[in-house]
Amino acid sequence: MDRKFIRIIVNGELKEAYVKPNQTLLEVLRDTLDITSVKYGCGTGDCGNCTVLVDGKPVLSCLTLATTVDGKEILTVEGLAKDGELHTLQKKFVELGAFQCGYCTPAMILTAKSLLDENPNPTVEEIKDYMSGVLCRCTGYVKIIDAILAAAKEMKR
Amino acid sequence: MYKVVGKGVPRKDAILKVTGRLKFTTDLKLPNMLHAKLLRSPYAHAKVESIDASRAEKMSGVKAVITFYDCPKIKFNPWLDAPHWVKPRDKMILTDHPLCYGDAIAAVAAIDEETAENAIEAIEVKYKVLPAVFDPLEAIKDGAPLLHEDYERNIAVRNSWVKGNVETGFREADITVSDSFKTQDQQHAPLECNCTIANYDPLLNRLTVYTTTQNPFPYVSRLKFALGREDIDVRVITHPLGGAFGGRHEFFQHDGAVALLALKTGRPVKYWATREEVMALNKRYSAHVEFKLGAKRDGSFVALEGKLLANAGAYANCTFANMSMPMDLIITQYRIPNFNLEAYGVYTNTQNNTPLRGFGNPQVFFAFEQLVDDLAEKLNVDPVELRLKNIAKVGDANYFSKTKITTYGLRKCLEVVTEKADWERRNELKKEEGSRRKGLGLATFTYITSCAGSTEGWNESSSAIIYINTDGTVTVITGACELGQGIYTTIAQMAAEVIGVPYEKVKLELKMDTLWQPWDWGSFASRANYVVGSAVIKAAEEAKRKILKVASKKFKVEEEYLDIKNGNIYDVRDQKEYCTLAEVAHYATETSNEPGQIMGAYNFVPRENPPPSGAQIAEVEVDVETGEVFVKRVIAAHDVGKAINPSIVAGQIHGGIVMGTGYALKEKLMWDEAGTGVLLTRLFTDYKIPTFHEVPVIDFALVETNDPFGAFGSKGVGEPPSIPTAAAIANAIYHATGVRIKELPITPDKVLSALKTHVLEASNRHKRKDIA
Repeated sequence: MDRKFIRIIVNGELKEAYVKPNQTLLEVLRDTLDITSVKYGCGTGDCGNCTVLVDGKPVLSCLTLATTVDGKEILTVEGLAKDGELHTLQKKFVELGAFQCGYCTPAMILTAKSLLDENPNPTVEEIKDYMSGVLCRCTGYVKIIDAILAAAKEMKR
Repeated sequence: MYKVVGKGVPRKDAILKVTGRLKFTTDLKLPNMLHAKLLRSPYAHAKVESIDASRAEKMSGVKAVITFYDCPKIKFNPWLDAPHWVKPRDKMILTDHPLCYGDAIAAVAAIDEETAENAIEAIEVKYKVLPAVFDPLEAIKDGAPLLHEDYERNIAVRNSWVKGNVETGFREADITVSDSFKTQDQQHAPLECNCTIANYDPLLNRLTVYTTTQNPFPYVSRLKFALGREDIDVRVITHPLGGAFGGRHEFFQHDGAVALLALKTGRPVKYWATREEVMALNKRYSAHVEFKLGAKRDGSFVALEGKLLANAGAYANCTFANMSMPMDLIITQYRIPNFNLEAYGVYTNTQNNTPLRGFGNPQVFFAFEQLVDDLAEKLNVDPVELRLKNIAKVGDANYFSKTKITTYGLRKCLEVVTEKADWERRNELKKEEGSRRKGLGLATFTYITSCAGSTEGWNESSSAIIYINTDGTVTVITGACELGQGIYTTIAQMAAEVIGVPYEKVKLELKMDTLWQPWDWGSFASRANYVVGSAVIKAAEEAKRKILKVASKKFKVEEEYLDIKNGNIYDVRDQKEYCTLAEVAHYATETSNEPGQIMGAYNFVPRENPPPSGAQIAEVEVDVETGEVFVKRVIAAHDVGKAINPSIVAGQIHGGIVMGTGYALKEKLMWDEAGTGVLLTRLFTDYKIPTFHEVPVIDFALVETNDPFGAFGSKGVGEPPSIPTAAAIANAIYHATGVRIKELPITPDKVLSALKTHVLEASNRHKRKDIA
């Protein structure tokens, strides 16, 4: 298969790759660029654990062909902490213990970031609606909701 | 007053997890690594008549192909190597006689996953499809397909419990209730799919295995046994797991296959299961449960008869423990003078059973706790009263561990939970609102903290080593396995508490390596915090004694007057601080004739089994038009002994209740029983686990009984929260609608059909009355 050359900005850095037309963004991020925070959980878009932000919006990287994001900006959780300081959402996840095994955590935090960018003051119902595409088997979601509420509160200050 | 224990300090793995920097096994890449895929049976029961891998072998990029011909003809039991738990030994790495959908037949190692997948497709297999059986009720009948020759009527294991005389008991009973219940097969569905990487070094004769197991240490002997290679040096490395819930105790077929491929190719081989494969790996067994319970008019239980028919699946694995424990715990929780119970683990052509959060207890308590409610109604007493009348007391027998109940908070839990839920309003509850019916239901449970005492020849030990470093930090080394439950954090808290240093000063490696870490049985049976924790406490005490001895000589103060607080050594008489821990550690290790590095080590063998228990009240709304059940609120009270880290305990309670809700209402593994036996629920599209939308309001209280044998008084908390949830929901549905749903999951069709029957019965009663 002919490979295609793509250029993407990942966490603020320009990355170039020759990708196969059937290669997903998940595969390129993990296998080619060694960005392992992006997780495979099902490959069918059901679990949302592969979520990354493309131009600020959550995208299921397992269902996204890498060629379609050529020229776009991608944020993974590795790019969230700035200058050695955690993002408020990350801080709240730490403080409130809003994770257990941590496998879904990068996708949860990125999706929550996109939510708070759109809606800085979400209600619990709005959080549930926005976040419901990301599955977690450990936490029962309760502390994740609490952490998002706490981050929203702190970010408003 | 504790300084670190009992505080919700941030977890040791927090930063790595929120930044995505934590490496899971699935994230690992070794130089020169190959990728493996397995050829798995598309049929529930078949015989391979011929297999031709020649086309696959010739494909470019394919480095090795193995089939059952290349596999040692050794049958193993995938579970822990404890006497009589490992029986029967009935599974092989690769088989020509697949007994369930997904059974492994061949494997390929290739330069990438795509090539490996194509090679698997190129293997030509001719199957003779054989009759399959999916339900233990059918499998146990004469003439059913026999899965394993030596096991008549497909009975893999059986167990029975007899006390007193059950017939006399029922004669003495004023009232008797009985019923049959059915539960479903459930999958653990951890988000990280199983992964194993094997790498063989022929010069060292060492096989290094990176794998997502809950038991890295027992894995070593199981791998050697299955390979028939006692000569190989096996090293197992386990990174923190992306969830487990009991599903990763086993030694899997893919573990053996990857090892064989690594031996054959001399290159690292990685197998990463797809979601479809994980869903077909193992399960919580489905069960038919029958109970007959007799009581006196005053409510006291006098006789119990019961039968559990567990759907063991194609291989026994840990069926024995899985089906025995719940019966042990029913008779531990309730004082019953006469009982006659039996349990059968029955082979069927489905994936093998394994523990899932609570072993078999959610199944059996789903049945028993509904029957207790039924009895309460017939006796016209409050379900809480009836339980309070019959539950065990401290000093009663713990049938599971063959010990005595050391502490027991269930009574208190019932008090707390009923108060929190305002249980009294149950009788005045305005039940109807449009098509919705509201109800409150209660269920209780008793569980275990480890498997200590449960079986002869099983020591269940864990070890710990502690160093006090020259900079005053403390290194804790154990073989504890992190599944997400937070074991590193709680043992660090315990070490900090014992030695007297801030929590931040305690350091741990966040992965397990059998090469240099000390033995641990693994993370299961809600044991790690107790068994590993106790070893850590003892090791920390030894390290502390040693450093205080050095300090005593250095400062010429008797040891008994010295203690450590906040990393400083001080005099207990006048609180005067002599120096920092670092100074003494540095002195002892580097600049004196003292014995050197300060360390403590301990191998803890648990003899007691502190019993966790609890009560949950579910508040539900049932839509009588659609049959939907909405769990609005779950109120819980759990005897956790002592919460080492209340934030972690809260997480376990939330997660357990939500998982229990999924078990109650949604999750079910299904096979094409009329056809090939293919697993139909292979994806989250078909197998629904709870999402954000199903989260009820969870309101819980901790009851701390401070068990004298628990680590800092603690008891197991990982599994317990999901045990009573389904039963509480079922009892709440009954309260709301007057119909009892005896089969899980409680889906709208079952609710509607039960409601229909209910209405019909009521109108028939009316008619009969009219005629009369």
